[in-house]
Amino acid sequence: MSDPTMAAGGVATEEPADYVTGAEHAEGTKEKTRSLWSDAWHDLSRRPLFVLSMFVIAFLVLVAIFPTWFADANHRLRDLDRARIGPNVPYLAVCMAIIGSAITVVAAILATVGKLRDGVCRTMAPYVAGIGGLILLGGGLVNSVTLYIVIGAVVLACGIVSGVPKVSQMLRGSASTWGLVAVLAVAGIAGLVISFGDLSTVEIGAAFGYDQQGRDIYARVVHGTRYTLLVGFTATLLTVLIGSTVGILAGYFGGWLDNLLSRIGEVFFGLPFVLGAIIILSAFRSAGFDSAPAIVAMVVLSISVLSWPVAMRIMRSAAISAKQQDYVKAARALGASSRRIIFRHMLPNCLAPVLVYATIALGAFIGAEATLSFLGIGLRDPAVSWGVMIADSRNYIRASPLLLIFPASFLTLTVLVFVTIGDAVREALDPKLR
Amino acid sequence: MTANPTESVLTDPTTNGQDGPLLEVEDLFVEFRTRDGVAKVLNGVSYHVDAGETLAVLGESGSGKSVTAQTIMGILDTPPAYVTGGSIRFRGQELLSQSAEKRRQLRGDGIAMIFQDALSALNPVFTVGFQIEEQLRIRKGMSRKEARKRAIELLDLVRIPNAKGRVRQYPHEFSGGMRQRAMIAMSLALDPQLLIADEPTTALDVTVQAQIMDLLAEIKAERQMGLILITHDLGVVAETADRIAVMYAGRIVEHGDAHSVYKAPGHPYTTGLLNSLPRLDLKGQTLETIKGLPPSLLNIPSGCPFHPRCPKAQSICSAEVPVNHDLGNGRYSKCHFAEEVVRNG
Repeated sequence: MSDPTMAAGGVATEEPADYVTGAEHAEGTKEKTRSLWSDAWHDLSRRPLFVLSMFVIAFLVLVAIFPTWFADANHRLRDLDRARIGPNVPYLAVCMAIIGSAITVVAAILATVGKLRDGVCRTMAPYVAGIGGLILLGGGLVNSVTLYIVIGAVVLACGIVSGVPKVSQMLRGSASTWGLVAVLAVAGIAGLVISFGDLSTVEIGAAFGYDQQGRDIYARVVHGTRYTLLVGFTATLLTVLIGSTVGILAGYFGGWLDNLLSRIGEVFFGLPFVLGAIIILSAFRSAGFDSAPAIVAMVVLSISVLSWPVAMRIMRSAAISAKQQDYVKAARALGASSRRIIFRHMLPNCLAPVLVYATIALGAFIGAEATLSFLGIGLRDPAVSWGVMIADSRNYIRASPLLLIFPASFLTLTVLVFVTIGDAVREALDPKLR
Repeated sequence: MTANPTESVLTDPTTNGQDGPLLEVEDLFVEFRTRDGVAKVLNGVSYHVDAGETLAVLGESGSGKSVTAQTIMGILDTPPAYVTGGSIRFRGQELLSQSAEKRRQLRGDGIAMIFQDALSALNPVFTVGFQIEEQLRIRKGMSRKEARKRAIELLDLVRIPNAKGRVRQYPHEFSGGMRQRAMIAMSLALDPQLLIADEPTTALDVTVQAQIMDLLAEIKAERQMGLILITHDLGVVAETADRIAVMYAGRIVEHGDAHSVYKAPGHPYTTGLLNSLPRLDLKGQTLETIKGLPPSLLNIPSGCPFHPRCPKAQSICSAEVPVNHDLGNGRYSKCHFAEEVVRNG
């Protein structure tokens, strides 16, 4: 504003703006601007459950991309001699202790940072400590190692004590928080030292045991992550893409186009999901899609084809309400084209509800993939997923339930994490809930 | 009620060298086809605006002021709205028969519009700067940098302090008056020759109202722009308008230069409107009102649409639709007793 030539029409820029209140003036240039999205992100990054879930997902994605970093055993190697051999309990216990201790150390670091600088670290520390404690405790319990149980219980207690609002308020600012941090740090480091020491005493490998065909279950769980997440992500992406494109067109143009698209959507909406998927998948199964990518593509397509009307309805209703807003009228009054109005002006305003649906749907689609695989029409060899593993173990549920429990618990965890994120996103983007 | 040569104000030579008004609306008919029936929203509206002139369109809610403006802009939603007759000429060109694409090119460039509620008329997900720059980049082919520079100039022009910092802010970070100013800057970006301000000050408090009106008047004078000011605020009109058109039930019931309409209204409705203004010299008395409600547009009364509420109504009023009575000096009134009303108030 210092350049006087910039003042068009001879209006002096330096002229004290007599119209403006002091408050308006006081706001400096450096003040950060905040949009809806940056507000939402600001809100989300302060929710410990959301941050925690994001870390779990980041880890799962890492596993999905580089499974060999996490499991060096060949997940395809079949050896019927070792069929349905149970988990390598001592090794499993040590591994859990190591992981639990490492997480405890992280909790101690978070608590220290949170103590010095207020922020998400402080609220997250109790959760992280609790998780670390639970894993340590679990590791102790599976193999009855007293030391792990004791350390785990101590860590868990620290987490609970610091996580209960009343207690943590009592402790805040006093020396006892540093005491808690110290307990966590000592417990974590002690756990690490002890469990690494124990590592040399146990036989390494096959932590989860072998399945009915003698394949390493742990390796299969790790390698199954890739297909499980791949199906979840691509199915969500495709569903949202089809649904929101159709929805925004129907909402913006209205009239006969809206009627036509809505009726088409209802036809797909009316098909029961499982029945529809069985029909589609069994029809194409005989068409000879046998490579892993082709099988994945078929499953993804059948999920998206049956789910897009939900995304479409959400987008359509958002578009109808956005269309009546004055800013769309204003954009038209200033000569913007339909395409520009739809994609530039309406889409960002309609995205929030669809995004919320997408995050929740992601969890649901991972579950749907497992359902389809369990029914024997979803993924199958050579593609391995948690759903496939659950399906394979259905005949042995009573004889060796662990075949089912390992993949099922990973599936549950993943779905839970995505649903948690969906919930957090919904709360951050929907001002009515505040 | 076509253009009257005696009343045309200085025609600006820069507009296009053509004689005649900048915008001419003639006998415009618009109806809304709703589930309950056909609402006749505009029933033969005619007015014109010259370059560098302010026309105030007055009337109650639902009298068709905004619909006329939106018809001129071509942003009415069809359905339910249908233009069933009349013509709109901008610089002598007929708009209603033009292709949608040609009309779109004219918006912003030729005719721009300011909306009543600036908060909802600004897109909440984009910065104010972006919304101004967008038009400049697309319609004028400016680079990002040039457009940013021009946006800052425009915000300066509408007296937004610290324009350089403000361009990066979102509409919700602006106060009500500043939003309206940003809205004005946005509509001025493409240098329109005609600006339609649809109740630009209704959502603002009185002091800010005055500032916005001053700003509009100043910019109008500077750019020799035509300005259509739609309002129901008679105070605003008195200060800024050159001419006034009073609307009732989708018709212009009275038209004339601001001064003489205020001095001696030619239609009982205008008299009623003026009488319902609070006045300092009549302190302590009950405020006069116009009895009754505006007519339902689904079922407009026969004859003069104002007759059920008119204190001067006679039998002829419910039987015959009044035509324009020429009151001289470019003044018209659609009242059977126009001359008498002017004389006796």
